[in-house]
Amino acid sequence: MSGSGEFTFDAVAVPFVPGDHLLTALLRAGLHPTGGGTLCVEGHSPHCVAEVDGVAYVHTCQTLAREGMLVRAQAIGDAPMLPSTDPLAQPVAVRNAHHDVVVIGGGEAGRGAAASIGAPIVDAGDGGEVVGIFPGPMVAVRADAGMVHTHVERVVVATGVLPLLPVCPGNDLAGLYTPKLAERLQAAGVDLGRTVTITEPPQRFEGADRVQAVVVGDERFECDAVIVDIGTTPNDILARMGAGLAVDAVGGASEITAPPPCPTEGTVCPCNETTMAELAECWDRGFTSMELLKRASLAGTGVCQGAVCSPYLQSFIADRTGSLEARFTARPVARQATLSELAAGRHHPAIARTTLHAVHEAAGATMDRFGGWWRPWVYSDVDAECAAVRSAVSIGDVGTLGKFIVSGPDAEAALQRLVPTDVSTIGPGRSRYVLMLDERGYVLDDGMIMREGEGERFFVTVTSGGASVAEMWVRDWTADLDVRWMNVTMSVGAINVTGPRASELLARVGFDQPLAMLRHVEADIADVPCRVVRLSFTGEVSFELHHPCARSAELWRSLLDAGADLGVVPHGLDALSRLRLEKGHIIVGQDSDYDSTPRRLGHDWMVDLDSGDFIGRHAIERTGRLPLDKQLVGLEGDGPPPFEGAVVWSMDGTYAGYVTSAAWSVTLGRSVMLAWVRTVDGMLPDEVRVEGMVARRAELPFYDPEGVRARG
Amino acid sequence: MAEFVVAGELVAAVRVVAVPEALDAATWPADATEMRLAPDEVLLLDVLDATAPEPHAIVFPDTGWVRFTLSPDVGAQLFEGAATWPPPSLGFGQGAIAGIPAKVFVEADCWSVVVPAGLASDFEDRLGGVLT
Amino acid sequence: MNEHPEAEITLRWNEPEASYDVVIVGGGGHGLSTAYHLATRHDITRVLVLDAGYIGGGNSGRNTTVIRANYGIPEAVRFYQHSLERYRRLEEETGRSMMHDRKGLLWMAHSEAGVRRERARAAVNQAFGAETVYLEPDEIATTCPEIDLACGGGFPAVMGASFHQGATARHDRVVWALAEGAMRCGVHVAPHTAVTGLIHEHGRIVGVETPAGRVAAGTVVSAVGGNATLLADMAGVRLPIKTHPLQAFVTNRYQRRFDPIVASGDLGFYVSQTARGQMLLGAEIDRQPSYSRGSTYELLASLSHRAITVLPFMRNLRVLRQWTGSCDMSPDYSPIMGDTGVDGFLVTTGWGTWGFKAIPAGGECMAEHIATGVAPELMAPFSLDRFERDRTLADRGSSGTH
Ligand SMILES: Cc1cc2nc3c(=O)[nH]c(=O)nc-3n(C[C@H](O)[C@H](O)[C@H](O)COP(=O)(O)OP(=O)(O)OC[C@H]3O[C@@H](n4cnc5c(N)ncnc54)[C@H](O)[C@@H]3O)c2cc1C
Repeated sequence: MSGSGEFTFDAVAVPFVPGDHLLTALLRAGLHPTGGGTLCVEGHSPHCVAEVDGVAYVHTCQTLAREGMLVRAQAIGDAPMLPSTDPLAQPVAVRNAHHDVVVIGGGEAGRGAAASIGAPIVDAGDGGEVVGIFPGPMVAVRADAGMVHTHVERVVVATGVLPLLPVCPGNDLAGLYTPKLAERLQAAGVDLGRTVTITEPPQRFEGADRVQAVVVGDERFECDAVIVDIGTTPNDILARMGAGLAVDAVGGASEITAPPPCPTEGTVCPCNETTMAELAECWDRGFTSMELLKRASLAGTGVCQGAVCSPYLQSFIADRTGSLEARFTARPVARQATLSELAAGRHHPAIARTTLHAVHEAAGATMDRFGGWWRPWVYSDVDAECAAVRSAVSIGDVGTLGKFIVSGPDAEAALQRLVPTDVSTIGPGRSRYVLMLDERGYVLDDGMIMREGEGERFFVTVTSGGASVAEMWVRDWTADLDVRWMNVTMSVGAINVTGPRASELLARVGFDQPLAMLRHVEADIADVPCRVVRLSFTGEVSFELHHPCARSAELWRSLLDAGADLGVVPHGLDALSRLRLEKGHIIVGQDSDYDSTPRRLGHDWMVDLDSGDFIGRHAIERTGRLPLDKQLVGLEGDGPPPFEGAVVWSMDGTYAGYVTSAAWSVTLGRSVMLAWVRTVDGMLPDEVRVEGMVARRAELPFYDPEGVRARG
Repeated sequence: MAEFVVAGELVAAVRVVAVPEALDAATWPADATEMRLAPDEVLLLDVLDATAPEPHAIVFPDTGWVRFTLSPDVGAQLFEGAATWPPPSLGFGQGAIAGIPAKVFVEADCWSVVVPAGLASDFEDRLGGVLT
Repeated sequence: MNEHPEAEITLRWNEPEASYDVVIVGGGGHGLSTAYHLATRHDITRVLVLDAGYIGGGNSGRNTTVIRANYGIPEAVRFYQHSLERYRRLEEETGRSMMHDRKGLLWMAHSEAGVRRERARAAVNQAFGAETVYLEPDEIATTCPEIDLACGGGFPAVMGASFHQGATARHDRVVWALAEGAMRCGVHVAPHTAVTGLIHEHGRIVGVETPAGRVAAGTVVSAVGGNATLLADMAGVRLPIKTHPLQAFVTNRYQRRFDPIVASGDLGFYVSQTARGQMLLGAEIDRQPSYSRGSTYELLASLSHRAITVLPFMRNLRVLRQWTGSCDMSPDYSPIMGDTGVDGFLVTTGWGTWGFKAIPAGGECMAEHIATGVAPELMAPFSLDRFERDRTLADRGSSGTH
């Protein structure tokens, strides 16, 4: 409970006593937050909003006064300024609560419902404003102490009824109160002067700024304040918002009551200041249904979300059509919260780190996000890193690869279904580079399949960042088979040792057996148990060392120490990307597009149509008979490399495609590129123009076409 | 009394994937903390090996998990602040905590929260935010 | 306030008659624009537009109204650039204010991959007349001083691409002005009349069924937004479309100050300030296909979080309203317009999260196609049979959002 004290309203110091809401204190001081209009205690009438401590549109009837609060008047119709400086990032607390049932509204109906089932009650009167009911159901509650996310099986909405606010000329004057507010004010010792209570809709209120008289029927009453007791309407916004969820309404909120008589004059939507005359004009213009009338007249689109005007919109329409139209759709939010409050407890998607992250950082690497992982982009000098791979030896962190163990009697059949290759011909200890296609024959991912031992067990790698999608995909497609999948992406570390002296380096750390291309063995390297896979992405002799990720740093260090005199340095993603480009290897997601069939990628050699019924087969067979429209090709030019994304022009100046990868090849002394190029009359052009440079179509790979170097 | 560490530690673990019936019937080393991640998958903490419960089972000594050991108070505080699902009253539960996939094992005097090693440092940062 | 209760547009509704030359199913922007162009460009006025609810009640009244042409392939850049230019003149043409506002669109990248994406898009835009310039971080700061370039420390902006012609317009008024324009020429519009079946005769579609009775049609056009596959199914046509929810929210009104449309591909978020002064925020689609129009807390919370990461000045703004539409997503992220292989049945679909900007050009092309029987050059590449012919139009410039 707050003690007494003072807050400021614009420049005025306003005293308050314990238990005062801001509104009570303002009215006691003879001030009105917005200048006029009927005030309530339900947090619905927009006439009491003000900017409180930098937050605009705060209902002063819902906010307890605290010492030193800075309150600023916010005239209706006059939008506040956007903040000109960044408000401090004050952390907003979040509390998750779990109940079977929660009851919203602590009135009679709510207390009754809560008592019968032993459920807790949320009530704005106790400082818990319900922002909305969301799928779950989850009831999001805003309180001064932070957000409460209440997770339940069922919600009971017992929000009761709201007082009708009058619609007539003069309804924007000061001195108009609902009965409950008048009670609260009288209890707080606020002197309202001469009051008149009206129980039927008035003709008008009279006065300059403050009400001086009210006319009801033929009678005119002079007064300083009017207590407007003209009926109620269901407070059903939460009940309607909960439609389709496990939400029940009880009491007044659930009743369907006849709408009030249709007013003829005055402002009907105080939030947007829409008048009855304007409603009528919109109607006459053909906006003759609830939703259209709302959008055309703006009535119901303001802070109160139609709480004040929707009963009148109903009566307005019923007057003209003779039938009662439902209120417009109730959307979140029911009570407002700030972006900070709504964002409370949220985080950006976590970006994974390999167990070498700290090692890369210590080595001065620039880290960047790729496919959900932090990866070293460059350590210090990309050219030196490339040179180490081409002429000595280098190591790279490929622990980010998606990795799976596959086992079971149907393991081979499962893989056979997922990839367009004959898996049965991948013998024990062998591996193969494969594509994964979707039903349309578009490339989803690429990777390696390795058969382990003699039996039905495989190790599969896919692109970094592809693992979570791949896991859902493979499980869905093989659910009917007797196969087990284990995702070991975050458990298995992987280091690529690459360069002409890679074998020499490995020999120094205990691995000196010959291993042919696309073979793998289990071996201890520097005392770390590894699966050693001979492959090549860089074009040089390469070994991928798969190992328990907890031991990556140790293995990394051993390799660097053992190869110091061989010139071993680590390479980052930038170097790797250039090196693989020289070899014409694609990066799925960078070089591929949404509609990349293997043929378009120039990878139809990877599709074996004799290998059974793999996913995408039908699409590939069908489209394979059609003329090709575009293809990913190699281009080379003598000028500096274009940026990735540069447009490719045909020599006659028409659009031909775009560059997906480009780099200056130090080794070859020219620019090399992968690019999408469109066919003309079924033919790919031999020469194109990229950023003014003539580029020639080149056979892939650019570097070491015979693959002599990778074989060692 | 368990020692509580709000900083994560790599945990010795074995992960097993096998047909559900075989996992239902399997017995694990006595000191293992058993987390049934899925009908066909179990994560065993504090063991270095386990016997395959069926011929095609995958038994994988797994170094890819980091454990945070929390007192029941702190565990409850963490859930209240950062999980949209209720913690199990005892035993295993899983779901996002502070936006990170996590496994928990609740015991009377100690809660273990286990996350993939690759996300552990983010988890640790976020934990700090919730537990201040 | 730059907005007021309607005092210009007048709409007149009709009960459907027994037969029309063209029946358009769906009174969203695309259906009404097609009717408008049939009537105003081709003098075809025996046209009926039917809507299951009220006009503009689908995505056309739920979108974040971004009009841009910075797409990823020439066919799309040309099409959207034409549509953008049509938008600029649409107020004059219809005589109705649509609060068209050229704001400029600033797109940020926060990673190497993001930079590559933005550069590629900018390159093809520049080549096809949708002028885009790169911005260094300090230039981002000049364009929009409110942006926290460090993005809270976690996502520093690496570069920006600015598309100066980016604009917004008030969605409802676009819908209503086109409806009014069509109605004035004699087009009939019948709201609250759902099409529940299509009438087949000798392999042709010759009319529609509604709870109010049958209506004969020379041509039936499906312009039903997120319901595209349901209606096509009635014609026996399979569309490669999946319907995904897309959500958005607005804050209360504030004085106009925030000029540009700001977007971030890496964070998956965009924002602009509307004519009414509300901050209007959008995100990417929900990944799970669904017809649900329920709004989630997940979106409200995560989008708020992303927004204040980029624009911390928004921290204390209060949210007014959140809503959801149903987006008809095509596999190559390009629209599908025209013939379907079933005579008498045409579609305009695949508008996904980006079809508001296409309303003028989409309707114009569809109308010409109906009137002449030939797909105009601008829309020809977007035919449905491109999937059968393997002439798909993968467009990375349209994926994600707006
Ligand atoms: C949140 C959100 C933000 C967006 N932001 C942007 C943006 O910034 N820029 C942009 O360019 N695009 C945006 N879009 C996309 C854009 O809104 C849509 O692509 C566009 O409005 C589609 O118009 P339409 O006429 O095809 O469909 P709709 O406007 O959806 O109209 C379809 C109509 O068909 C009716 N209908 C359906 N079934 C039947 C039936 N059986 N019988 C009769 N009638 C039927 C519906 O009632 C509806 O009125 C956004 C979409 C959403 C949801």
